Amino acid sequence: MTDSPNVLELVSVTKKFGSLVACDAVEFAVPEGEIVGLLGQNGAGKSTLMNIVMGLYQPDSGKILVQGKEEKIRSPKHAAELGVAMVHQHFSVIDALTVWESVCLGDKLVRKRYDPKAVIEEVFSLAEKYGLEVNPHSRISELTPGQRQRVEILKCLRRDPRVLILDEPTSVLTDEESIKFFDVVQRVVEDEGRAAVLISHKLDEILYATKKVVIMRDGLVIERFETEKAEAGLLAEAMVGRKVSLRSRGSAFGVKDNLGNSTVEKLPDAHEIQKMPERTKDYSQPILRIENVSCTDNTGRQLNSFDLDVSAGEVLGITGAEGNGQSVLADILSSLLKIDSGKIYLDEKLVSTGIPGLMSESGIAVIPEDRHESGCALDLTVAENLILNRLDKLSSWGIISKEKRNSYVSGLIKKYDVKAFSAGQLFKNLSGGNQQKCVVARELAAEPKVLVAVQPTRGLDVGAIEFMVEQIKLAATSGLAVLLISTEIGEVLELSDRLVVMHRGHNQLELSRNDFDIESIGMAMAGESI
Amino acid sequence: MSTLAENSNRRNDTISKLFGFFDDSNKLLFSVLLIACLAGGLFISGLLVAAVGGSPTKVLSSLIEGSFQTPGAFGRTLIEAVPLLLVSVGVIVSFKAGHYNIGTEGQVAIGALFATVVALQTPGPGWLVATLAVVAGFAGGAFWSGIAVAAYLWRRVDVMISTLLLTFIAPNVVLFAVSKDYLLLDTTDSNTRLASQSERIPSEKRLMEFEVFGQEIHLGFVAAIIISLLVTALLGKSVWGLRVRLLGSNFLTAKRYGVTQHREGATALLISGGFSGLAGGMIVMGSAFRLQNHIANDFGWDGLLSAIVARLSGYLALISSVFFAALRTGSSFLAATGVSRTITSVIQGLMVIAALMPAALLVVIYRSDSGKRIFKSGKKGELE
Repeated sequence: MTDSPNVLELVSVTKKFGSLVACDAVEFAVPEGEIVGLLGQNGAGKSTLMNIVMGLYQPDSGKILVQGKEEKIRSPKHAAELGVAMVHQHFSVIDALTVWESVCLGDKLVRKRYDPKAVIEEVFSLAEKYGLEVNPHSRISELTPGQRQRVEILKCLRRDPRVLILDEPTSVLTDEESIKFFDVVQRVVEDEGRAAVLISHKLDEILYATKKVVIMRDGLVIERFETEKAEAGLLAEAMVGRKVSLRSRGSAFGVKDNLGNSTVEKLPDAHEIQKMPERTKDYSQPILRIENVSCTDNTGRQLNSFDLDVSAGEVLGITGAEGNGQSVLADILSSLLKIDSGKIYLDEKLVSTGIPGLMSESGIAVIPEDRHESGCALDLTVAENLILNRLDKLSSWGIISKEKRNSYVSGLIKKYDVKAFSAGQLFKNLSGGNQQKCVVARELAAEPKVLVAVQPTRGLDVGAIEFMVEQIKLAATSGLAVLLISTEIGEVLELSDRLVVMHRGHNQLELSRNDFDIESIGMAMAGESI
Repeated sequence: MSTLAENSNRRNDTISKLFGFFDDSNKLLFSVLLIACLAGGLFISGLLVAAVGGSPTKVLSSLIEGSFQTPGAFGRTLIEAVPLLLVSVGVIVSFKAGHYNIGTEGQVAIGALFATVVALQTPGPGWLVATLAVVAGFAGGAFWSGIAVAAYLWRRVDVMISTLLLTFIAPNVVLFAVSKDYLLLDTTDSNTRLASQSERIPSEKRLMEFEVFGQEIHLGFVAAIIISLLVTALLGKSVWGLRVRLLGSNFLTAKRYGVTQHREGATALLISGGFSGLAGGMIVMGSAFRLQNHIANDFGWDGLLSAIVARLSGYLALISSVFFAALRTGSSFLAATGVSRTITSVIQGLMVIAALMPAALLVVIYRSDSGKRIFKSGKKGELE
């Protein structure tokens, strides 16, 4: 029981979809002046619950109390009238509009006209009040993700809501932007007596920003914690329902010193490192060798005289601030870019770059950063997506053999536990986690020599992260040379045998596992020579 | 990725959404919507007929009479369907590859031109010349789309625009050819007024005609059906087909697996133009028997529309092309009903809109409050 009254309260809310119980007698309360965290894996029922609050779904049973009064929320519009506002995970602002236009979009109009002056004035004063600096005249398309987020929240605050629902608000923000964002939210909530729900699967931000945290799993509320008394490990376990391996936990938490979790805590300690599978392989025989490569992609990102080698059985982590050439390297290894100078050897053989399909054929498997951009074909079926790199093997006389394809595909679906209705289902109707599994399955099934994983855990929930991490470990133990390109330092530290920090297309720092040192990595990322 | 590529990718996405070939989240709902839309389109056509003072039932019966019932009408309809089907299949190939070849009308004309040249200038046994002529038609269409392909590969000129613009050049090329006596102009005694047309194709060189169930059809009909079934099967089941569809779905993923605009993209467009040209060859060698500047006579456009109505399915194109052919042959019987024959163009247009409607309607339904309640539950993988 809390002293402050509940602004929003859900009493025994149940929602079923067919036989699936998305929310099972959920009790959930948001007191005035508090931020409540709502934590859970994909499919735990968080979004369904919030969609009920927003009036997108009607609960099958149970009731919703807004400021102590029972309400039947009919639609998002109705929710807004009741003072419930949502900041969406994906931006709902329109590129072509200016900030003030976006902010007043959807307003009820007086005499069918907008009043730009008044709106601009209002944006200025709100921005000042909450420290959300943004120019009302800028175009949305010119804004950084952080600034867009500010516009979203300005838009919300302008309507003076009682409850803010924040659905994974930081998924596109940098750490610094995240902190600023939460500071604003805390001020808004605590000083002005509003309330907020923070939906997230980033544990560190839940710990940083919330007072209470509610954990859902399979439609049930599993645990409630006072955040002060909670600990990351406990939360993760409650969320997944089993002990999560330290390594995948590390990736899920992210390493964000400044969000209140010390980095050092999450590094595997010496004891842990020793327990890792013995890798007695000789790392002096590189499988993939990149020599003095320079290359510029068409957005101007560069590799400058870049050197690298990866040996069989080794995980080489590549980190650095985003945009320091990592994507160029990944594109080269995906046969998407041709290098300007330098040499790339695979198994001591020179490989040409920029020849479509050649890298894949030569045995370099890539799990791309954005699978929708270059990892899959959404309009093809699951089966077709799985066989893209095996067309020759599964066909004769240019015709794909149905039998061979089916047995190959069903083998992969089983092995990687892909949840699909059928292999003939369209790829775009799979969930994100299952799409990622398919990409991994396809790439690894071709028996590659090198695995390049680019931001492999970005946007995945703890369970899916664990899967990815397992696969990366397995790939290395089975003798692949693994190149892990990631901006999540935690992940790189946990998984790599060796790491390279990239800065402006250079190999700024190279460390082997025993010498991992957060401070020098940080300095190298900032461009300091060590 | 360059902005250009991004833009074209985004447009492809919009277009493919419109076709909605790709939403298998609720097949039943989709089929019901499609049938409802087609029926709605026919109903509106009826209303329009009534609005201009005609009788919908009479118009319908005379359309059916003109296209199927009068002696020989069915055969004529099938012969009209041949070029429509070939054009449709070509369109399907290019659309699936993510290239929107909408210049089929021009490719038909150039195909007809090539076929005529070969048919009139090549000595030899009739069947051989006829075969060579239609193959030349294919080459002609491929050449015409090849110009767009070259411009695309060389300077990334938008295929949709270039194929469209080439369509306006094609009939003038044909007109030039049939109005110069040193080229194809018919200078025989039968053409005393020197109308712009070529000589007639001698009867022994035409596509072989035969009779089935009292209907006259020609060999091209059989060839067209075999070709379209074959191409459709290849698109679905062959390595080539998968690579083409991969390119259309995501060209970056395609590139990673060795599928390129230079090979698969260009081939798809050349084949697409080729089929339109083949259609032109069939028109000259199977029904028109001489070249005039308006030889394409909307076959290219109608074939394009027929492919859309078939929702880019090669099998459904067999049906939609006969439907479009029936509208063409049946329209000549409308005079007796007092309704302008152009009503058939309106019906065609309505059918195209009807075929594209369901995808848009699905979005509307999914977005509406009640739609969300009813249907979202069926859309798995979105529950979070």
